[in-house]
Amino acid sequence: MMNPTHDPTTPDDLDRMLSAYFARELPHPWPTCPSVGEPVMVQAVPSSRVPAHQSDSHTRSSLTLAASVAALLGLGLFVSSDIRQQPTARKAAPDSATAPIDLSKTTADGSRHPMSKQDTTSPMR
Amino acid sequence: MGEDSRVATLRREFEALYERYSREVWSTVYARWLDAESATDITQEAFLRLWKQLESGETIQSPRAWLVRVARNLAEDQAKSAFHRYGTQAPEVMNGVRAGDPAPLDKMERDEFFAKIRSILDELSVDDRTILTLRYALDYDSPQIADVLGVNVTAIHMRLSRARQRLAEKLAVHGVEPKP
Repeated sequence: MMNPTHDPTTPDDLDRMLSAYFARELPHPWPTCPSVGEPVMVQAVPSSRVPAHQSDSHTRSSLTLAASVAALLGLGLFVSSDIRQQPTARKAAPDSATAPIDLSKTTADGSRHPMSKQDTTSPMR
Repeated sequence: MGEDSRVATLRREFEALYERYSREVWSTVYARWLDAESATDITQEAFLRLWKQLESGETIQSPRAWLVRVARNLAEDQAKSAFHRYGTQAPEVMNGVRAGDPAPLDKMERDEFFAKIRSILDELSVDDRTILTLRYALDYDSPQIADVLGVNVTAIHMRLSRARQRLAEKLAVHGVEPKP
């Protein structure tokens, strides 16, 4: 079993047995180096998660401007349509606001029916 | 930013020391107690303590010697603690004892064989076990073992030969044929 003049370059049964034994004992895989001295990372909030009202002021200004323009346009349309209706609308009874104006209706003598005030409750477009 | 740079440099050095010496530290602890799991835990703990020393600005002349000394002390502390918890039954005796379905016969035989080898190794001196572990676990040659143990190569040749001889005798006494 044991060669008294053992040549270390020629493994015998004892060498092979010990190699097999320690191969079983060694951790596989070898444990990684302990994590030390890692800096604490503070993660920044991604911009996609930033609420819209906190976006940059340029975007906010643009939106405000667009809204103002839209409001002015709408008001302008309303006023212009109101002005077109005004000559006959003045003669209408203050409370007759719902009856539509029928320009084709004439009295027997050819005079026009007094036109009622255009319905001001219709939604502006 | 300077402190971060210092720590990063220190961490790289630490990782290099781990790569260089962790296996040797493990082998030293394993040779003492023949318990692979404990050897792994103690090795990790020894390196964590090394880190604390390095981080505090301490200069360590010989990291290997320092690590081995710390690891040995930790192993002794653990052995005392285990004695109080488990009595005279050393942890390595309980290795491989599992409940549940029986393992295949050849695996059981193999496990039994290597458990016997472990118990016979336990009868050798720590010095014999250390040199055998460095040789057969790490596949170190005599000059490398001499470097680890701080002795000359001729002495290592002699110690290794004697350790093998003593092991072979004990195997014979226990009726164990060395089989790969």
